[in-house]
Amino acid sequence: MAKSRKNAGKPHSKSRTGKKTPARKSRTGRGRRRTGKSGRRLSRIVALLVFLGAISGIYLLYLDHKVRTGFEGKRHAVPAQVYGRPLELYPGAKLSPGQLEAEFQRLGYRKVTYPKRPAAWSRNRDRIIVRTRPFAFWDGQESGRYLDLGFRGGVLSSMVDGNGRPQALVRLETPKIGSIYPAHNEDRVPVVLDEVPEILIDMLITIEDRSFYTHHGVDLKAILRAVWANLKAGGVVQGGSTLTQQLAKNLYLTREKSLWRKANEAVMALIIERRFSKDEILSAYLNEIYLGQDGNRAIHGFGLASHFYFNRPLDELDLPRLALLVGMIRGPSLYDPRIHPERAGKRRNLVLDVLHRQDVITAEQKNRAAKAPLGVVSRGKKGGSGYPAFLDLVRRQLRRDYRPEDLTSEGLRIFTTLDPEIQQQTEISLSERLQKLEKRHGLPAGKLEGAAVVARSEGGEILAVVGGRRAGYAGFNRALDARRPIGSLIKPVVYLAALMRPDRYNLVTKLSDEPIHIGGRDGSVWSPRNFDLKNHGEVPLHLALSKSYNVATVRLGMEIGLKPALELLEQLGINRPVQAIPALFLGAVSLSPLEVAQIYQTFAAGGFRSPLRAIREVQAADGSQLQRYPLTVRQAAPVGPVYLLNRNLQEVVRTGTARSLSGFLGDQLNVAGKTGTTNDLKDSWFAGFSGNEVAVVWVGRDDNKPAGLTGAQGALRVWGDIMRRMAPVPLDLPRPESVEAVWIDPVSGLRADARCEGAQEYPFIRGSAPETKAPCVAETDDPLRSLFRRIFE
Amino acid sequence: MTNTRPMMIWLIILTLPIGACSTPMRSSPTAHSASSLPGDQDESAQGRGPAQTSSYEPQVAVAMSPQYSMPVAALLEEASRQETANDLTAAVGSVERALRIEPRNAHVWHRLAFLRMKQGRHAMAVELAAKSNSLAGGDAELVRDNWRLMARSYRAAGDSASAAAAERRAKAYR
Repeated sequence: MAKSRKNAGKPHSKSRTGKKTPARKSRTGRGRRRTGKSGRRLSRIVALLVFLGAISGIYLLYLDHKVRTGFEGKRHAVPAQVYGRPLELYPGAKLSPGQLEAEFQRLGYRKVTYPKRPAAWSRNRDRIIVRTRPFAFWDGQESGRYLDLGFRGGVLSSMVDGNGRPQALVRLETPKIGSIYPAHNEDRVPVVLDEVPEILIDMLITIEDRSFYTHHGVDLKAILRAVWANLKAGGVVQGGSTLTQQLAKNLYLTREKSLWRKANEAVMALIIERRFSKDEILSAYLNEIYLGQDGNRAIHGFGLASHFYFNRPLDELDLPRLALLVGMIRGPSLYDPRIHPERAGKRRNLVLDVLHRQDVITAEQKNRAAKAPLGVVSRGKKGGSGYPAFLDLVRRQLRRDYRPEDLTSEGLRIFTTLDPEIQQQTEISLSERLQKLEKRHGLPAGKLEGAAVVARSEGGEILAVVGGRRAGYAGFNRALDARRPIGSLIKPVVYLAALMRPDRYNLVTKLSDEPIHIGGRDGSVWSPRNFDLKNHGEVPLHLALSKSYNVATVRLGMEIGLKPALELLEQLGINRPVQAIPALFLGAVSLSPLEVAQIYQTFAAGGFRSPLRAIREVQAADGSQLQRYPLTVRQAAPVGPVYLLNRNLQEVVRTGTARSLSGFLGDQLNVAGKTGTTNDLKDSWFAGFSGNEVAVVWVGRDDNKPAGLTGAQGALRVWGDIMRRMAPVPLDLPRPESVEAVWIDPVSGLRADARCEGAQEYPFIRGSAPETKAPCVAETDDPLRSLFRRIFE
Repeated sequence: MTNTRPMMIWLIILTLPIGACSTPMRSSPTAHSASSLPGDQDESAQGRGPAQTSSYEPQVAVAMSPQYSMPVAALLEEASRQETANDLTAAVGSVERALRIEPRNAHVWHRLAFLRMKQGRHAMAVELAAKSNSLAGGDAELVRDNWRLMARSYRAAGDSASAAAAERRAKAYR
């Protein structure tokens, strides 16, 4: 429609200029009347020729300009490559043979009977032998190695090299997790001509363009041959395009089939040949040729195609695989080995035949290759990355430091913190558990959604981000963008604010859980209630948190005030404005799972906040380091009170609202955490940490209708699944110097000793424990007896 | 009262060997965990489990001398080489790698603090030394070194009041 309207406008404007031209012509025409008729015709022809010449000259200049800028521009437009964390191998590492196998698969290492070449491995029960690929890290080259690895009970127990020498530490290369390519969806893994297998070049020239090194862009003989062959066959069976013409087509032209385009292609091929060397043309061809489609991502170039179809670099492809790719040039969708394996196989063998007839390969090579399987790996998730939510985060963090065009064209290498293993386990945990929850609670199928973030407690590196239950698909990234009320997840902030005043609050301070009514400025009255609708009277502070009593929390919050709570929240890394209302104490603040993870990371790291990071380093295409995103810590809260809080959060899991976690993890891990549930069961949250990792899970519905699950019924279970799959280390909290342990009588909340029935030791900021002794402490306090008790207890 | 005091002292002297023997035994799994396999670590954690859950506040592990697992020791050596070659950025990278393997090793955090101080990133160095202190347990020597490092960093940053305060803290550990 738009086109036709534009065209409709053109004749009109032409006719207007047309009115002027005759007038001008008539003036010059008067003078020329004297010359003869033939002279007039000649001069008209000359003028026309000059005119046409000028037009085509201008057009040629235009094409030339297009060729040069396009060629130069495309040659440098290399999308940023994004890598996950490198796997560190060392004796003692928590790693099973199966997990290592999965990593090999991600890296495209082949399973063989004995690895003779790099990127190959073999396994015999608990022993794996591997030859690694060399890899250029930002801080130096990791050379290719031969490693003999022994496993025992889920642990890498020994690692020796080819000479039997024990190795302390080896860093595997980083798995590629995606690339950042521009909006027109051209992904690319660039290859350098010198590093391309020679046989591939021979193949290309033999199959596609035998006179490549002698023609000037167009091969007339080849065209005639093709026309003849096509006439004979009554259809298009052969193309006469040179590699240069194919390149022109890929670089500058659409896929439409017309004579005009063909002509353009030929002219541009001639220009390309004038402007660039054969090697440059070949190199561009290798990187530009279209070889398939992955959703809306176009697969251009042999480098990317090699990864896309075989999950390994081009220089590791064998003859049959290379022949398969070369065969696909004619029709990437027609010969798609995943969709039409038989057709693709036939085409490959045809290629092999031709190669043999042209003496490029021997008969034996041909026969062996023709028998080989296609070797195509099953298609990964759509869009070239299985990690859309994590890549989304990477892009956002990069956007602060880089221009979009740098990311999509400068060939940056981005080293991230993603642990593909943990990512995968987290995805599975979420999707499977949500399905089970829907069944178990009779909820409508497919309505529950969820998100999860897993990070290292120390340093804040993000290990996994799951943005929804269909994690492989890009879409609404709930981990970053779903901001929902966090409910009781806020309570630890309130309690920490209290514990930061040891003169007034400690873990056994009695709090009132009696009903409270708070008047708002508009005259309304807010009367918070407990989840069980009961009034628990006087409760010790630690119990109010572990049982998540709302009323006691609001009372505590009102005592300490909104300002300290808000300030602490900011210290913990929440930068967005938060409404200062009493309901804040019960979580009337909407945050994303990622933001919540930042708060709990600070708890998990003993009060030291590390901004959650998805990126470690950015490297330029030439290998030089552009930027590091270093490990940083900032003390957001004093060590002692955070320690008390974390002990309290362990109690939440041991005996409080999250005790059902023991069904997932047992009692030995001592994990700390907090459940969160919002009004009408709309949001189900769980946030917590083990010895090394902090994780946050949200479960709810996109339409904000009740999900029908409490924090313990929903998110906690997903969290438990995630942790169980990660086999975490126990949470051992080192007691800070500023903290002492004091026996407390649970009945009176006063100082007791070990003799008191049911007395327990609680941590206190030194000097803040109650001085008054409980009645159970005998008046005849015999220091000798108590000393004996302490020693032999 | 006056009679019992000498008796108590004698008793303490007598029982000291018991205490001295029992303490390392209790703490040995923790002290070894750095160098032994995580598989063993899990077992030892299970062994300690019931004792921990029976009381709200578990026993404190006794301070350990600098002890690194094999890979961490290798990385710290690497960091030393890089430091000698004046490639402090690379050295920082190596120590960060070590921290991924032993995230709660106070000595490794101290090392990172030191490198940051050497780079002139004083605020960072102070925070990292504080972090090291939070994990140092009863390792008085390390705590003192951290306070000294903080004092140096404060002084270099021109904050002499904080430097003096940190020095006082360091002296308390002499």
